[in-house]
Amino acid sequence: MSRIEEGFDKKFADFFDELDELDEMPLLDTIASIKTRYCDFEYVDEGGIKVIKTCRDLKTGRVVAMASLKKDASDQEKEAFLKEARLTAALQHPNIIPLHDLGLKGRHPWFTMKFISGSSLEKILGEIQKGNSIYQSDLSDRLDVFIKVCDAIAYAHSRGVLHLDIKPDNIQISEYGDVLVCDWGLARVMAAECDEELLECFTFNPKDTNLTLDGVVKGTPGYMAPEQTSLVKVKKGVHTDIFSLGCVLYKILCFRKPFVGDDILRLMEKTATCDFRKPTEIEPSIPLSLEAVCLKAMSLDPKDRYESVVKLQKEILNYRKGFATNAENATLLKIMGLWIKRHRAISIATIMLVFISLFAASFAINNLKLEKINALQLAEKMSIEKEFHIKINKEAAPRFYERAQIAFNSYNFDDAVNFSDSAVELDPTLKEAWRLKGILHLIYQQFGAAIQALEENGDSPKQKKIAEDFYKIKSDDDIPLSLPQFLELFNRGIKDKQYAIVGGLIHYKAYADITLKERIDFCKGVIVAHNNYVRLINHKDKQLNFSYDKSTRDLNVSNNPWVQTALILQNFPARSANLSHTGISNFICFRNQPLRSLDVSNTEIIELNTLENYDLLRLNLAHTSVSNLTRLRDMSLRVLDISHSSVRSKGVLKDLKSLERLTIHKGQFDVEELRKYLPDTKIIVVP
Amino acid sequence: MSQEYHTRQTLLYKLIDSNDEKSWDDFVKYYEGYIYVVIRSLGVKQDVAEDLLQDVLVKVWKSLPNYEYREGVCTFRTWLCLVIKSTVYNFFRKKSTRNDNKNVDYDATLHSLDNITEPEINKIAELEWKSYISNMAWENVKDEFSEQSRKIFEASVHEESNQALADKFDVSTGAVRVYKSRVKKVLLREISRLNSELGG
Repeated sequence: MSRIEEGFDKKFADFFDELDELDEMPLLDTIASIKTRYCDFEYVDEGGIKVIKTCRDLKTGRVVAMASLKKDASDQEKEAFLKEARLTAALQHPNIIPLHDLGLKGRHPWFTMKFISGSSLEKILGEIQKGNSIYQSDLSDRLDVFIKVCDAIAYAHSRGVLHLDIKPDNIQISEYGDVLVCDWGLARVMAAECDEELLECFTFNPKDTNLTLDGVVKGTPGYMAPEQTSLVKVKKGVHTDIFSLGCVLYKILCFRKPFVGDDILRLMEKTATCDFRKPTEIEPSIPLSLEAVCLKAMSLDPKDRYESVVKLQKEILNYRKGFATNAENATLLKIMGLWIKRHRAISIATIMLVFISLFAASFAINNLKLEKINALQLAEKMSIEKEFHIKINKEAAPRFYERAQIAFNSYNFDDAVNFSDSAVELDPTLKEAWRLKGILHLIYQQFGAAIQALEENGDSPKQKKIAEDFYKIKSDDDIPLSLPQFLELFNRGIKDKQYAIVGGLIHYKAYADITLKERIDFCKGVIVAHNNYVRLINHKDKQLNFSYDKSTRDLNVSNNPWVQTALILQNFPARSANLSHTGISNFICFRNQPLRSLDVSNTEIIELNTLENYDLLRLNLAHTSVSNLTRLRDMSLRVLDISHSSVRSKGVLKDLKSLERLTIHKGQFDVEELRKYLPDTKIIVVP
Repeated sequence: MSQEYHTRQTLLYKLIDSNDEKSWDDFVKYYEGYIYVVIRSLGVKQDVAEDLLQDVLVKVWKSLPNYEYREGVCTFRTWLCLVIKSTVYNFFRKKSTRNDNKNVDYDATLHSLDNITEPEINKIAELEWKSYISNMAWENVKDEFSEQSRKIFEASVHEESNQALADKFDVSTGAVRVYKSRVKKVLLREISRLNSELGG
């Protein structure tokens, strides 16, 4: 008898290949065994600091989009990135991109969101214009998309969130017509209106200016509102998004950006003055009623725009249904024309009726009086509601103040300003908040505003005196103090023992966007002023040694024994710093300096806990009292000098495998033994 | 996958560690058919293959204690196929020297065996395993289905077009899709079960 195997059909092997790897194991085990959740990364796009990739999520088995920061992102950028993610996660709406997961890879944050296979409205419009695509080529279809975008933004506004970067690029349309608003990177929370949990995302933009840290204009030129350029000073709000929506509508209608210019300055100028061509000038066939909506949304004065996104959307819906839009101030004739379009059949009979009604209308004028009364009643009702609103929010004020205080203590002044502003806005009787606001204005050198705030506080005579004195020197809150004036303010702070202001001024200047020359001048001035009391005691005739080489980026402030604090050096763009033979006792002054090489020999430094320059390659600790090197484990030092320091333990030294050169003094260690641990390191023994 | 690795290990260790009859019987039950199809795939005729199967089993029995699992280097299947190849090779060499006059056929087989390298053995091992497991799975489950669906499914393995199948069996294309998908689901589950039980 022949074996059954003889009858085997090799084609069946194909079925074996259809077994998914996952199928072989129960899902329960598969999921439990997953260690790295995301794999198969593929690059999609990148922006200023973000990179978007697609990847496979092994746990759910789907493809998702992952956003992460570029490698060189600062902690501040990481924080902003995470806030964006939290904010996006808080917005749950069918037309807002859903966020799936959020996490850290080492210290690098990432988040995953829905992957949309489709393209942006920008691309689709481009294709239609080129005549390559008939998809969405019907105006009615494009208005559908716009209505959905309005839905999303209206929802966000109801949650107290402004998008501030609405443009066709940020509107994704999937192959099946889903419309999703993406990129909430510039979004802001309206603190007075948002939910409690969204407060943590409040003020994520580092400054209330329109420039990001790298000097790029915030928002997208061509779609941003006049108040988003630095040329127009109006608070951003719901009206800002409405303006951008108007711009999107403009693009949908005539396939062009409303604002174009050869260079960014010209473009900003045009935006600031609302200088754009009417849609019908570009394309005469555009319906006048839609143009009217567009123009109203894009009014220069926020008051002339729609009050809410819902109202704007209603107009588009009206148009779609064949009614007149409010914006075009339709005449009776136009309304009738539209009506006839809608109800052609019965229209002729009705025209007769209309004439009769017109006759009757004269009687109706009396009714107008009644309407007026109604309107008054409505207004009254509104004002009652507003009062109620204020009452509720008053209780939230102390929480805002608390957050302001926390932000202030961690030198996060922009957040502190926003929180204290909100606190006093909600409860003008909150004295402490006024004081904090006053101090912040002092630090920002806005003396007019400081006087006002401290007046409200009524219990800070010293600070108020400073504000008043400097208001005489400089009354315009919009311009900063000159260097000598700044130093005067600084000295005054020291003299009056206002250390919160002194510290604030240093931090504010160190992290301000100033030119290198200004920075050097400020550093010199502030270091002298800050250490003057020591200098006057026993180094009277000593001048400050301070030099900086722009090409090599070497900073040299050595041999200033009277310098005990040099906090103003924070954020200095030096690659190497020499502060040997000074009186500094910690590493705080080196924060945010991109240092590769640092010399702090012969200083008062006793420990390394404040050292946060993780990119250091060379470090000189000679003649200091440092004894514990644990901190150096996280770095990849190549050159280290610990001669005549208090280091006696080999413990950490053994782990510094990247060391190429190590300097010790005679008798500090058993050199032979040390060589065993560090075979590749050149060990230099000095007497 | 760790699970698979685990199963394979336990199955083989049981064999290697305990020389008892029971686990040997298990092994023969599981692997006899597989060894047979590999022998056949090496170009051996049906009547000789039966004899060779016995030879291979004896050889495996003897050399199992020497088998050492090295992950990624030599899987059990590859090892088994190497044993099979050498057994088959030796068998034909003996035959060809013994029977000088009538050895044309053997020589050809020998020659083709010579040309099979280790990576190729690997390939054969994998391919035959897939086919063996899938066919065994089909043997195990096919009685669960009605004659109609069994026939349609078997035909569908060689005929892609649902329309053609529908015409042939005089049913609607919808019915063909349903039959195919139902049977396939059960078959895949059985393949998966067998594969993990026999230890890949």
